[in-house]
Amino acid sequence: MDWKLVLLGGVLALMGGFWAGQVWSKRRAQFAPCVQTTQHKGAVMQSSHAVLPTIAKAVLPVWIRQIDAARQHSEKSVADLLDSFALISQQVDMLIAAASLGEAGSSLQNELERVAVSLQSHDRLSQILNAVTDDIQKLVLCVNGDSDEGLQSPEDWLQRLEASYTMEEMNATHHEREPGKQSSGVQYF
Amino acid sequence: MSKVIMVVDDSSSFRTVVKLALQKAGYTVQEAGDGQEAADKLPTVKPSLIVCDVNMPRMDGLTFAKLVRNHPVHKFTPIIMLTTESQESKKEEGKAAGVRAWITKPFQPSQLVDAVKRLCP
Repeated sequence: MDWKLVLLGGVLALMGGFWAGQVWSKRRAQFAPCVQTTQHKGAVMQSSHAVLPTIAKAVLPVWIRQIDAARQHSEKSVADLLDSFALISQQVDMLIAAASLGEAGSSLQNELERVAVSLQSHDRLSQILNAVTDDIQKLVLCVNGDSDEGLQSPEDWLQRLEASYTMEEMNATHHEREPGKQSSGVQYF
Repeated sequence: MSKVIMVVDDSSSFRTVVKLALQKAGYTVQEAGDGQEAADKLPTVKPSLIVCDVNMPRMDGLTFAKLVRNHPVHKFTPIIMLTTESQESKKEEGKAAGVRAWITKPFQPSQLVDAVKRLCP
C-alpha cells in the first residue's frame, strides 16, 4: 500500500503541473502552496497515512467530475466561438470580394488564420485533461483494490503514464522541462 | 463539381476548423468522428483525399490508413495525417502505411490547403 501513497503524492504534484494551462492557472496558485505545506509537515503526513486512501477514494472522483464539467463547459464555449468564427470568416470573404480592400483585406485574412490556429489550443487542452482524468480513474481503481494492472511501484505507474502521451508537451511537463519547438511545416513522404 | 475531402477526427471543434479552411478553398467536406466511422462511409463516399487524425477511439488513424491502402477502390487516395503526434516512430509507421504528408497540430489553415492542392491537384 505504501507505494500507492507515494504515487498519490506524485499524482498530486503532477496535477499541479497539468493544470498549469490558462484555464487552471488561478486554481493552481491555490493548490501549489497546499502541496508544499503538506510536504513540510512530514510528521503530520505520517499520522494521516492511514486515512489517506479513504480521503483519496472520496476526493479523486470529485476531481474527475470537476475536470469533466470544466471540459464540457469549455467545449461548449469553443463550439459557440467556432460558429461565430465561421460567420465572421464568411462575411470577411464577402467583404473582401465586394470591396477592393488591398492590404487591409490580406491583414484581415491573416488575423482570421491566427484565430483559427488559436482555436485549436482547446483540442490540445482537452487531450491533456483526458489523459489526466483517465489516470486519476486508474488510481481510483487502484486505491479501491479493483485494479488488475499489476503495477508494483510509482516508477511503473509513471512509465505507463508517460507511454500514453500523444504530445511532446505532455512529455515535457512530465519531466518538468520546457517543450521543444514544434515543427510547424508540412512533412511530405 | 468540387472535390470531396474526407476529414476524420474525433474532435468536432477541430473538424469544424478543418472544414472551414477546406470549404473556403472550394472543397466539399465529408466528416467522420473516428476511423471506424470513416471506414463505414467508404462504400458510399468517394473522397479525392483524406485528412486524418492519429489518436481516435474505436479505430485509430494509422489503422484506418492501412485499411484504405488495402481497399480495392480507395487504395490510391492520398492521405494527410493531421495530428498532435510528433513522434518519429509514428511518422515512420504512417509513411509505411502509405501516408503522403504529416502535419502537426496546431496547423495553419493555408498550409493545409496548400498540401491538399499539392496532393490532389
